[in-house]
Amino acid sequence: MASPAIVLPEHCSEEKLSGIWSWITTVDHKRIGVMYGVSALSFFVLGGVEALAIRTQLAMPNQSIVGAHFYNSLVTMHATTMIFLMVMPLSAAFFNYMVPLMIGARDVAFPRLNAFSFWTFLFGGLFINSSFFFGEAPAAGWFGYANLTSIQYSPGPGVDFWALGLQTLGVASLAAGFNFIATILNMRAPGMSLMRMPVFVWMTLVVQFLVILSFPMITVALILLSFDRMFGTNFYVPEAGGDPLLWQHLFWLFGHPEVYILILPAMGIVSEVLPVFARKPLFGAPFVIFSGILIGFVGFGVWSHHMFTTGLGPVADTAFSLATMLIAIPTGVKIFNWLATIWGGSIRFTTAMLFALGFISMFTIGGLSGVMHASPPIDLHHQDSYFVVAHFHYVLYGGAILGLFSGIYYWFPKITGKLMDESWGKVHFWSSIIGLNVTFFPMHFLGMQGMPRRVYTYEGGFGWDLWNLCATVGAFTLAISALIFFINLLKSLANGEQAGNDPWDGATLEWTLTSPPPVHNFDLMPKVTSERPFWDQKYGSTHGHDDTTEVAEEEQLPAEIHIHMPPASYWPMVVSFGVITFFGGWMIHPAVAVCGALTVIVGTVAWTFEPE
Amino acid sequence: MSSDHSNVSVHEHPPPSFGVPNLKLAFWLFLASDCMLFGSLIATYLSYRGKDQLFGNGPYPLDLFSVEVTTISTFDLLMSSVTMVLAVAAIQRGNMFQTRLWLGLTALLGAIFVGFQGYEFTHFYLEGLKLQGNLFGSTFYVLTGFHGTHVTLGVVWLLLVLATTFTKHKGMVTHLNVEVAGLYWHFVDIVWIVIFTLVYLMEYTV
Amino acid sequence: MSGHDSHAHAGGHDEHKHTSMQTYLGVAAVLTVLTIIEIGPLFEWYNLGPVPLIVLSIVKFALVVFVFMHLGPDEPIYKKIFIPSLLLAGLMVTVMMLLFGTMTRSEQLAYKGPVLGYVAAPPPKVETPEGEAGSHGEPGAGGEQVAAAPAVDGGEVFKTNCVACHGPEAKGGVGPNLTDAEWKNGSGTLADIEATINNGVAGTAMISWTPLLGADKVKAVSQYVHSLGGGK
Repeated sequence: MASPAIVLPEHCSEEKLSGIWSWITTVDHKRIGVMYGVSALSFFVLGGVEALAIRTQLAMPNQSIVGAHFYNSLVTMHATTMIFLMVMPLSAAFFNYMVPLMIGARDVAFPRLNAFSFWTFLFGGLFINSSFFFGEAPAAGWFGYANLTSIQYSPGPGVDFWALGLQTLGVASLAAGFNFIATILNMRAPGMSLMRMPVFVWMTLVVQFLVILSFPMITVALILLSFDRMFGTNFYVPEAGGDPLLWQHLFWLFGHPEVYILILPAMGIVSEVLPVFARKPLFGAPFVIFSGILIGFVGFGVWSHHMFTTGLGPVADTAFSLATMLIAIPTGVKIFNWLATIWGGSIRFTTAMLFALGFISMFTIGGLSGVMHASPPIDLHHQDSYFVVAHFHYVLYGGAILGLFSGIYYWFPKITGKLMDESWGKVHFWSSIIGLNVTFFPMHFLGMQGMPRRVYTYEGGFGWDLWNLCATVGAFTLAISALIFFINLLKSLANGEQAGNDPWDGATLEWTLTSPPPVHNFDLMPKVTSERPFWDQKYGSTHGHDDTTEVAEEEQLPAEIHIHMPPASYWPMVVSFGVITFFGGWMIHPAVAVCGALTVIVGTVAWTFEPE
Repeated sequence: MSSDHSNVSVHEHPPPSFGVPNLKLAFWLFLASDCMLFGSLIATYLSYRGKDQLFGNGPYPLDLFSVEVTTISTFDLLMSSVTMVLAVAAIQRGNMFQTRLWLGLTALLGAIFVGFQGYEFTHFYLEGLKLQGNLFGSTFYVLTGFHGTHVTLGVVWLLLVLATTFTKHKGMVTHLNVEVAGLYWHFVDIVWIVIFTLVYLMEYTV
Repeated sequence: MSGHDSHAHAGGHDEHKHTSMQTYLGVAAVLTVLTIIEIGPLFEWYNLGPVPLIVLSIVKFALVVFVFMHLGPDEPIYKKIFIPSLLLAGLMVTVMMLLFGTMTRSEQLAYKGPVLGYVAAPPPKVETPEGEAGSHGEPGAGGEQVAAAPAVDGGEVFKTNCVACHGPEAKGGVGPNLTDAEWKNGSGTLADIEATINNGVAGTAMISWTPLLGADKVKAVSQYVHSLGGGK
């Protein structure tokens, strides 16, 4: 096969693609993906340190290692960091890096908008965390219930940092949402019909729809909150007739889809990893896809199960309870499909596979305690207790984070060209599993024994002492496991084994490329004839065709192929800077916010007139 | 896609899987998202509608609404939608003069709408409706204010599109760019159709 | 917005050419007529109920979306994105209205309003969770609450504001027991109790109540707490 020479534009030369400036101005989805990943893992460390401080404070009764108010800040920032600055961007790292590769695209639909999303996310994350240095970190909880967030009860700047920072992160997520849906719907390689898309891409699509439809509601909720705090409006002020429940509704209208925004990417990753390491196609892939879509849909109709204790009345309680029970069905469908996938497969217990299996088992525990809360009487009992804390940590650590770790071990070789060390990886896996069970399982008991959430200390003698100590020991085990992970990551990056293009015998298009992939991704647009294009190419098509994924009509290929690459641009970062100045400016002076808005407008115009 | 390969640059124009331009697809997604934004604002307005009476906390909508101003500004925005659609039709035919004419007129009508809103806000404020005063004040100013902000941004956008027709960047004055600006403009109009009914008309009915 | 690809202009546009100038102008005329029908009630030419008004606005909405925005003749993918999102937004608004018990116009008209002499500022604290169906169903509730205001009953104030932390019998809960002789803040004199209620206790859930209750109610509730057995 006489492969044609690839000619890239001059701005893609070696020297132009090195140095810090090339990263700042990059519009390459792969580099942006890496930057998302690095930022997310850094925030993971930060959120982890906050978790350790919380657990240290709670290790024994009546401790005062951190004060009550600072404890509230820690709880708030731990949740905000882990949700918005760790799980979401780490998922975004995989969306960015893998989705274009998996669908055979050159890049995302709007490369510069993609860079804008990243910088806006990063500035927003730094902005929220900068509150630690400016007086007061937000301390009203990540759910920011009104009217705890009112000026009267939260007079410090923390809640403003939180509200305006989340607003910024919302802008980043929305921009990424439009971008990725357009990419997935419109830029698939020839032959890749929607039902031939990898499940990870499908879950990305569902997640981005959840993002673009749910984030506007938190945007409005936060706008009303900021107006209450800054301009003295009455949206959540009961004395003037406002209703704090309005916040809860708007927040959970966003907040519940957000839960699926966190978990569906991990489900997608697991759906990629299991078939490869079981050497079997995903069992009932259409069911996995449609149950993902169903979860997305029904996810909009269950928000009030977070609010059973507010007294919605029997009709609303029943409706939301039924919807919540309903959503367990597609989730169960997925779990059975994953189990059927590994059933009878020739399983390779690599670290990626172990984490995927860990995901299934731990997520199931969290899922089961979740279904319990669908029943209002049980929910009334568990509300605001440690049982709920146990539940969502099983779902988020045992689910989302184990799934994302699986993705890291699975795709690290593709991204860096090096394999991660398997023995260190297995130590990481087992210490994670032990650590998370020792930390979070006792919280079930604590909850049943009546220990409330969000208390900074407690009296001895309630039977809580042992389990709290146990959870603290577990938390430090988790910290050690994370340390092992980071050591493994750096060690493998420095001198890991060469991975080759296809270390795992993968089925999807990204494994047809070199590791790391060339800057322009595919030389030729791949042609897809099934949902497992690379297996077809390696082992013959399961569909009876002889087509391979690469283009067959060689005789028509020209001698050289010029690939169009968008030039680097700093305007996305400038506009992001404008966005954060606009939102953050309200805390300083409206004139600063106006400057930010002008920066956005000028930056957008300049960006529009740039050559593409 | 063999025909593409003779076209040297394979990846420059990947055939869109749905046969639609990325920009327009992303823009419809933005509009879908904006539906939820205005949906939340409208839900807030309606949840608090009339509740001020429980607290005897005026002024109430009917103390303030000016029938004439609302009617004129509603027609004004409706007509701007018509001129917008004519601008899109004009650039489709390649008629640059008419494109400029209709774009300019649309921006003008939009600016007039913003002017009316400014007048209305000032008038209401002087009549005693404060943003900080009662629920009606808070919800009304925020809902219509957000719509007004959308209109203002739309006017700026239309003027920028108009400006590009006079620059050397001829490639930018595409049918697609005018059409997408038009989608935004029509969306602003349909949001007003809803606000006009739910906020204003509903006060005059039983 | 960014990244417009002037080349990716493929398909999807030819259909528009079928939308003729006559169609646009015809739709514009229909929209004008519908709007004139809508504004009738504004000028008291005639009355229209809420349902016809909503139907009229839906028709106008649909005309602009399907003809002016070309959603009708354009590629089906746009419909698949926009229409479900619109329905979701509509559903969300409806459910929120149901949950909050929005006040219809006739309910507003039937409402007799708060009793005479009520002063809007400072507004009273909401006693019942106001979003629930009950509050506006009993139009008298607001009035009674205001009427009760002059003769402040410290026990009532306590029941409404303090029991959440101090318990229904003031024997303590999250907050300390107020019936015994032990005082966490101050010595238990009437003045000390009043000071604690007025100023709150920093770093605890005990907030400053003056802005919420006003001086009269604070005085009343202080007397009530003082009378519970621990007062000196």
